[in-house]
Amino acid sequence: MTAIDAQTASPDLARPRRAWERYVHGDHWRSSDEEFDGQKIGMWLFLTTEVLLFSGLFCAYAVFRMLYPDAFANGSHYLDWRWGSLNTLILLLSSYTVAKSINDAQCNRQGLLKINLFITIVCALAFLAIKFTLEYVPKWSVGKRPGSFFDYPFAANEHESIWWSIYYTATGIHAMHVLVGAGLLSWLLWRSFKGLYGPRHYNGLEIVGLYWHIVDIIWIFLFPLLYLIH
Amino acid sequence: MDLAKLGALTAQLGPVERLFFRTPAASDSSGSVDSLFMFIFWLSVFFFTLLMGLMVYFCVRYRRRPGVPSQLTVQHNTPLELTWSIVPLLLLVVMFLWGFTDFINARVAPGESEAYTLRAQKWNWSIEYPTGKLSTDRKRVGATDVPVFYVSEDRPVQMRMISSDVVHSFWVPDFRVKRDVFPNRYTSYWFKPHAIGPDAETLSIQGVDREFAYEDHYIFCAEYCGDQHSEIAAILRVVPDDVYEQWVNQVVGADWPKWKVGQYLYTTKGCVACHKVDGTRLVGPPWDKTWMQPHTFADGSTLDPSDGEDAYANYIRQSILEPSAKIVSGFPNQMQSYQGQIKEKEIDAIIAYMQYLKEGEPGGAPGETGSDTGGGGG
Amino acid sequence: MTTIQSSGAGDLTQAGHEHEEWGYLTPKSSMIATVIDWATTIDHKKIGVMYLFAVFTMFFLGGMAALAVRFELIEPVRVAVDGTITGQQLPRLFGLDEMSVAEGDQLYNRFMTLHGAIMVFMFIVPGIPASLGNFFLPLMIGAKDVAFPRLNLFSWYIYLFGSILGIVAIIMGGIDTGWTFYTPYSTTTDAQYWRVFFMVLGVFIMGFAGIFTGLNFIVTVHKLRAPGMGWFDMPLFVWAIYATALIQVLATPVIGITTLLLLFERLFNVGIFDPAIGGDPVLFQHFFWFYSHPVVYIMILPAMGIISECITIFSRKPIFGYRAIAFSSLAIAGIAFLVWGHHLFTSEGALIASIFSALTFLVAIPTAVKVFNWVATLYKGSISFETPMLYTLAFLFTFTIGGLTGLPLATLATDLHLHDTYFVVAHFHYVMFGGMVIAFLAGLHMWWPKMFGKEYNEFWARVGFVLVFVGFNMTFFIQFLLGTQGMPRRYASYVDEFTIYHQISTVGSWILALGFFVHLFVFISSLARGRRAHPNPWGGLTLEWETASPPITHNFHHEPLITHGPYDFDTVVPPQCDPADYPLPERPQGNDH
Repeated sequence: MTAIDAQTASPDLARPRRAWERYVHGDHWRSSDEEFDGQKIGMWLFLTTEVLLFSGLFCAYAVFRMLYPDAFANGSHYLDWRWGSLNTLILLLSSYTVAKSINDAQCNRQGLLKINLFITIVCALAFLAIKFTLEYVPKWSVGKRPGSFFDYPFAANEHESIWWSIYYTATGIHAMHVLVGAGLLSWLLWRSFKGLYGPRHYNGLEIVGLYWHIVDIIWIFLFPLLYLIH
Repeated sequence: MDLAKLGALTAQLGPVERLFFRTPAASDSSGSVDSLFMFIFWLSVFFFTLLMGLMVYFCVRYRRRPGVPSQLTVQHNTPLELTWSIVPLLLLVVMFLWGFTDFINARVAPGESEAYTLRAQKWNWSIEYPTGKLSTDRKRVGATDVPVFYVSEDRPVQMRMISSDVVHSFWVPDFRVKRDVFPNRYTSYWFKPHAIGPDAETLSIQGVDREFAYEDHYIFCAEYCGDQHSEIAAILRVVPDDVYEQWVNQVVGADWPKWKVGQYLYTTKGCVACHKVDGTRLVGPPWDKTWMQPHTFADGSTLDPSDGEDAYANYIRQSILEPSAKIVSGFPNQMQSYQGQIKEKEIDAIIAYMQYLKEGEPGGAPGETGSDTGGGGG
Repeated sequence: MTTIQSSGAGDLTQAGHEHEEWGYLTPKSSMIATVIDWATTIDHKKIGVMYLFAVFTMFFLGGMAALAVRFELIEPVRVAVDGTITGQQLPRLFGLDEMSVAEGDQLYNRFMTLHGAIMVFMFIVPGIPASLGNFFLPLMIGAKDVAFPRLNLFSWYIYLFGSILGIVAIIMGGIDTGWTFYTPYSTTTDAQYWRVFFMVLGVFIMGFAGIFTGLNFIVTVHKLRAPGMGWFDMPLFVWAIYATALIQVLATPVIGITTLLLLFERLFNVGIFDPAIGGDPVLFQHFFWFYSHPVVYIMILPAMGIISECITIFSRKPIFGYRAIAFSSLAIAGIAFLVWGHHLFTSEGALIASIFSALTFLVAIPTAVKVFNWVATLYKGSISFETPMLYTLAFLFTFTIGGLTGLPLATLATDLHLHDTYFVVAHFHYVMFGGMVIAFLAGLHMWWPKMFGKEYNEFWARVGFVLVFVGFNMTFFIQFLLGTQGMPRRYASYVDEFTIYHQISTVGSWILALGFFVHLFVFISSLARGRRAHPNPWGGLTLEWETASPPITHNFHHEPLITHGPYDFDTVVPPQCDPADYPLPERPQGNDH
């Protein structure tokens, strides 16, 4: 995506410049475009590391699924696919709104920019709320817990605690990423109120947007593996 | 290619081999690994000498002289690059194939072998012979007494190995093979010792009717397993076939008093690795200072003779099944539980042994401290 | 001020902007202001210098632990019939004469673990990239700084924080798991203490420093090269750092998840690695080595980059086989990820082991190719033997031994004997110390005048070199024989046959330590009262030699225009040098190479 140069769009140079028009790139970069490109490469590299981090968990899932297929088949029955699907839809919606907010910045629709960011944050918090209150808490309270905390009297399989360990670790680390994402998005929302994003500069939105999409994609993989496959 | 025969040929070690290995590889499972190692070694020496020779020569010949510039040369040469990539690659392929063949030889046991079961624990090895007899003999190596395992020079052995706690690794350096021992699954290890050499030492032991030639090989643990990783060793003793037969068919314990059974279990269950019976401390408290003697525990509680014999029996039983509950103060909380690995009768016998160490035979003097059940030390 | 105008419209930074003309080391108006300046700096050079001091402090700590380890091994531990213990050195040293054999062993195991953990995670992995890489990467490509200077500072603080957690673990009594933390020992030992937790958490956090630094370097190399510098005009040190950064970004997350799972295992008994509840200890080994094998290439690739630089400057010759060396760095980085299973030959199945053995042999080829090209570079050169070159030649000696001794370890059958023995210890010390540390010393001596603007005492540096070289070989060569003869590693004591070898090795360690103290003295003297250095004392052609010594904060007065390659010693007189000192070879008429 290229930045639309606001100066050529408006000939009135005496008009007071908004914050996003006054953006100055880092001293060591040759131009704002170079800086933006560099930041995007940097974020893509960081996302690769996130994928590798989660691939360790996927690998553990695969290994233990192979070793204890019954425990895993049983385990997924405990998860409610409806809440999982709702969370999936919520995250997909949030990916849409964060992408939309980038477009809003490019077209200088400051109001919609803020609204879309806000909806994204709400989606993130809704995801966390559903996960915590409707999934974690009910399960934890009846003893469906990881590892040595496992205390469920009706466990159908002796290795069920491993299933719960994988479940809590994978979804827990993912949830932490959602929380961090919510924090970053809130920071973006605050900055958008200061008028810092617009057609000439929306780097932060793009970068955090990329992060948010990875968080979404990881969930897209976790959801079927944990909730749907029997 | 009969790797065992090839291996036996390397039995005559040259001076460089002796520097590396001291003694030749001593099992059919070693295959030709010594020759393979020497092949890699001499190849390395060749290339190293070539490279260092060139380096030194260039440094001397082309050392800087004031006012004299370096000379023009080509800056790359693709055929040369390809040559010195492909030629080494071919040599490496040879190395890989040879190594692979010997590896399979070491991993796959021959058809008929004696089946031993090996148990590794922190910090002791114990085996069960095919006849069900357990290893009881011990010998001083380094700072501790380690178990001695008897094998026949004529029979291949396959061991099924498992650990009671952490990962260990069974290594006989003279056989050039090691295998890791895990807590959650069995691994196997086979060997067939070469014949005992003509100038071997001789030995006589209780339970065997003649003096016999033998060869001892070290067994070391090769996977870090905690405090006494350096001391968890054993001796593999190669003996003539008839001696081996006599050894493994010895019947033990049929008419033993309870304390002698306890003494036997003291070695075979591995207690000997951490508890002495001569008053000195090892990892755990000495057993001859346990029965009816005052103790203070880490949690502040105490036990003394006025509490009665039952309290001591209970304390011993609890220490076997739930060792962390009562730790004698000054000792570490290191003992693994024997829950599920010991029978009630065996606990009784051990209590009887500890009582024997303090009070002697019922009606006699306090007990010996030796551990010579069913066969003396070497 | 002539700057090549940037293409962005309305770029306000350039108008009326004056950069500082004085060196980056110039202190501020007061002590406090200087401290704050360093604590909040985003200058890659200052960050590089801070890393340099930090990693060498860690090297000192790890080295002390090593001396303790070798000291214990000077005599085997024996127990007499009456129970008297002889041969324990460390308990005597610390006045703990009542220690039993087991407790003495445990003390040894703690020092052994600390030596490994400190050296690997706090010294050698950040080592060259964080210090010399940070300092020289932007200079060598003609940039003002790295791509994300604030991220660079953040990485530094993450590293510092992680190291401090590790130090806390040491102060709390240290850990005895071995630096490899194999489960279930690492999940069950010291159960009532927090020490393992803090050390593993420290490793987890330090991993992020590596990831962010790697990320920073990759973007820097892609986006911030000076005009005219294509990929094949870059110095080979930059290629090396780039390949290293690729590995850092891709491999470090795996140790991240591994350490995280290890922490969860200790805290919450999640059971993934615990066999008692169905977990698998070999899974831990796979996870661990999936990172820890590539990490050894993070350690060695930058070192190889330094060797490429040193060997050309000190023989005044273009590098032989530039593209071969550049591509071999990438090949090594790629193959690095395929060979981790060679650490598990004794625990894995035969088919997997065979595949990993074959792949491991592959990685030997690009490595050998580099060594051949370096030796070829010397041909018809004009070679001088200052300390950087002495260390470069020593590298060729020790690294070749290290590489060749990897061959019996890659070979399946011989590895069944040599795995987890002193042979392995000797092998990896020859590549890690004889490779990375030797090259680090070469680079440090070469770049010292540039970084600090001071000369160092060449005579005493050479004395240090001799002590280090002799001491190193004396300590470690004999360990190959210990390994083949049957001495396992991580042993606090040993059978009588090995005594003389251990004694030789321990004495070697003292000579090695002495060599380092000599170097320390040389460097401190240089900083305190070294002579002002020439900006290009060795006649180098890469861009850092065009700057002042020490460089100004913004590195270059003007953005450099690339007019020659980094190794054009036959055609270019080195910048800031007197042509009389650097005569060029005669060019044949009509030839244009």
